[in-house]
This record gives sequence, structure tokens and C-alpha cells, in this order.
Amino acid sequence: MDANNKIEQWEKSILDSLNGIERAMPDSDLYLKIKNNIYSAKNKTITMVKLRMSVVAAIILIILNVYFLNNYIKDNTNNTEVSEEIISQISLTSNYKLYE
Amino acid sequence: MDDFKEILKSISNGDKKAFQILYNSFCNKIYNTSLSYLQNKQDAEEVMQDVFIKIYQKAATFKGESSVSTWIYKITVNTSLNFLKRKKRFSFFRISETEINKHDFEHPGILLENKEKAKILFNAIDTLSNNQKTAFILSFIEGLPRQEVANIMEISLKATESLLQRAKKNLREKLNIWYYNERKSIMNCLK
Repeated sequence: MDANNKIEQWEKSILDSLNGIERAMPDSDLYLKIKNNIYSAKNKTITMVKLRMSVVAAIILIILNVYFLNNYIKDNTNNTEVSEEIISQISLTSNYKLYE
Repeated sequence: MDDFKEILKSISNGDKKAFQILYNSFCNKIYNTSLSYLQNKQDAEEVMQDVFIKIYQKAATFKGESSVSTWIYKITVNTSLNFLKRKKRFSFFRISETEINKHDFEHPGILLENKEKAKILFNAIDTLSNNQKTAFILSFIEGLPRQEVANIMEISLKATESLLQRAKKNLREKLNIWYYNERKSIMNCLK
């Protein structure tokens, strides 16, 4: 019984060791560190306006690329058709049996 | 209370002075809460930085459903628990120096005559589950009223009280084991 009481008292004294606890103080230059962190983080962040503008710019670039590529391909196919026609017109002989 | 809501509004508008006022009002509360969780000065300062950055970033989203103090405590508790989780994950690969120091943690605000006993208590607190730890730290170390603890933890008052009872019961059990182990080691030394 005595031993139990002793343990209980000891446990109580451990739990009571927080009585009269005072607040610990953080480092005095921590505020400056936090302030610097906030502003460096702020510089790194991209605003929504900038993000939207860059998306619009990317879309315009893609559309222009597709448009010019399409035109280029069309021009090329027209050119080959024309050149085949020219070749057939230029060719003087269509019959190679010359000595008949 | 409403003053702090106004201060948060000013912070969201980029008012640096308002941020400093909020810092001066809450830095000790945030630091002490995170120190109780992490039991290490450097880690507590790191968490404090994270908490203030979050406050700055989220100031505009504060809806005013709870008091500013409750909101800040919520951020502090979550950031501290996440830090502990992250640290535990990495401790699988290496035992950090802070992990070793943790077992010798002396809270700077404890009275000199209680330092050794508080060291044992903080070791025992560290073994509690997250919910029990939070209820115990906020109630007995931060000295917050039970209702505010319930608000911070987003649980009922009854649930908070039962968590505290279980936390105390578990602490007594841990202390009991510690007491017998210490006695055993003293007896072995005497032999």
C-alpha cells in the first residue's frame, strides 16, 4: 500500500512539474527571417494574370505554327502537281520508237 | 477579437505593419505550442516560420467562422504534426541529432526545481497519440479553456474531456513503467 502511495505521489509530482511554466521566447531575429522568407516567396510566385497571359501567348503561337505549317504543306503539294504537269509538257518525245 | 480580423484583412492587402502586430501578438503562443510538440528549439523555429508564411498566404481566405486565435492555433497544430510525420518518415533512414537531443529536452520556461521531472514528463508526452497529445498540450501546457481546445480540434467538448482523461491515464501508465525501470537499473547498479 505504501509503495503504491509512493508511486502515485511521484507520478503526481511529475504531472505537476508543469505548474508555473513560463512561455519560452523565440529568437529575436526570427521576425526578420520570416519577413525575408515571405517576400522572397512572394517574388517567386506567378500571379494569375501573368499565368493567363502566358497561356494565351502559347495558344497564339501554336495556332500560328499550325496555320503556317498548313500553308507550307498546301504550297508544296501544289508545287509538285504543277511541276509534274510542266515536266509532261516539256518532254518532247512520248514515243520512243524513233526508227519505225 | 474583431481587431485581429481587421489585422488579417490588412495583411491580405499587403500591410507590413499589420503583419508585425500579428507577429508580436502570437509569436510566443505559436513558438511554445510547436516547442511542446517537437521538443527541439530549431525545429520549433522552423515550424514557426512555416506557420507565419501560411498565415500570410491564407489571410485573405479567413472566413471568420472561428476566432483568429483558434484559426492560428489550428494552423500551428497541423503544421507541427505534419513536421513530426515528415521527420518520422526520414528517421527511417537516419537518426538525426535532434532525435537524440529530444530525449534530453528541457523546456526553457520550466521552473528550475521542476526541470528533471518535466524532462520525464515530456518524454512520456511524446509517446501519446496525436489527438491525446494535442488535447494535453493545449489544455495543460498552453492553458487554454476546454471549449477552445474543442474548437481547435474540431471535436465536441465531451470528446475533448475524454481525450484528456485517456491522455492522463496513458501518461500514468508510462510513468509507472519508467519508475519500475529506473528502480531496476538502480538495483542492478547497487549489485
